[in-house]
Amino acid sequence: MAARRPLVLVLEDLHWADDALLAFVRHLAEEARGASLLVVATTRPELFDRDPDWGQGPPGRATTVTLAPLSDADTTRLIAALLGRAVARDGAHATLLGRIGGNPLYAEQVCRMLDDQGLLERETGRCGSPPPRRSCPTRSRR
Amino acid sequence: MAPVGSVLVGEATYRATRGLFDYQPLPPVRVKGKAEPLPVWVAASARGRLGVAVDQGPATPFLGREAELGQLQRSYATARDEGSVRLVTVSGEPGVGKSRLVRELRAFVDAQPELIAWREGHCLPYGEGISFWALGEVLKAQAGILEFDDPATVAAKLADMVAAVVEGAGRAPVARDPPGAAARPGQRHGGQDGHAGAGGDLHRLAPLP
Repeated sequence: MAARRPLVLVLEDLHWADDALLAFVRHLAEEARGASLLVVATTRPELFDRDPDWGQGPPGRATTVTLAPLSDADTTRLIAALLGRAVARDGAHATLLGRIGGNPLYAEQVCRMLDDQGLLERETGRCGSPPPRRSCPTRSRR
Repeated sequence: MAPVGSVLVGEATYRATRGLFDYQPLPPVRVKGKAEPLPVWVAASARGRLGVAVDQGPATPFLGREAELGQLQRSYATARDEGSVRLVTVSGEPGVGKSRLVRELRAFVDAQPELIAWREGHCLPYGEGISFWALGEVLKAQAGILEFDDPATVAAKLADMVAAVVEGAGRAPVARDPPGAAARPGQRHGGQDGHAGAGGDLHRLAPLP
């Protein structure tokens, strides 16, 4: 057989997969031979509550990448990129960091809300009170 | 308000899903308990997903995940160079950047000189009989099955796909009964052992088109 094309198979939200699909993916990782195949499975940590051994083997073939919250430094860079500028005054930045908790999605939503609701004065760098951390991203109508 | 059988959504749903569906705006409607009329949209059609999620628009800058991306890149390179299988599980809380990391991997893969097949499947949080929905998405993409294909077309495309990738397969191995099964590949057929040779027989598959 001539050139074999590598395959990247992405399975999103594996924490919602039932046992049959998990068994299939495990089987693929452990038994499949003769193919260039990268399986990337995204999951919330709760998968490991259900299946503590998930992603543990076989050695070398299966690994787990755990995404921790972003560091304050990276969150700061992210906020600056999202807002187009840094937020530096009046403790607002520390408040923002606390609300965001290193979660890029929260960062995006909080920054969008600040922008939408006019809570951020771009000229002066002053920032109003950010919304509660888990508040819904629904935007107020203008 | 809207034609019977149509799907009407409010602003939050519209904003959250407009990348996935085409919507038509409708005149604002008065709703009990709301002082102001609410803007509404009617869903016109799903945007086709052929094995790859629809682009969600401008992305948040990719920061602080270089090491994790490097790990994925190395796993890909190993699988490619060794002709072997690698499984990488990307774990994290909602919003922490799992899907984004995958998008960055895709950009890396797209930039490689070799031809690479990329397939995506999404596990769903609800419903019965959707054990293999994610794999069904993958197969639909592989076979070029579209959401609006009728069952006969779906069956024909599936048969073509099987004939194309499995050595020695004839043109007619695809079960056509019930035809709906082809349109809903997530439906469970057979027991949990139904997959038993599938992974192990990968070496029998011809290169992906």
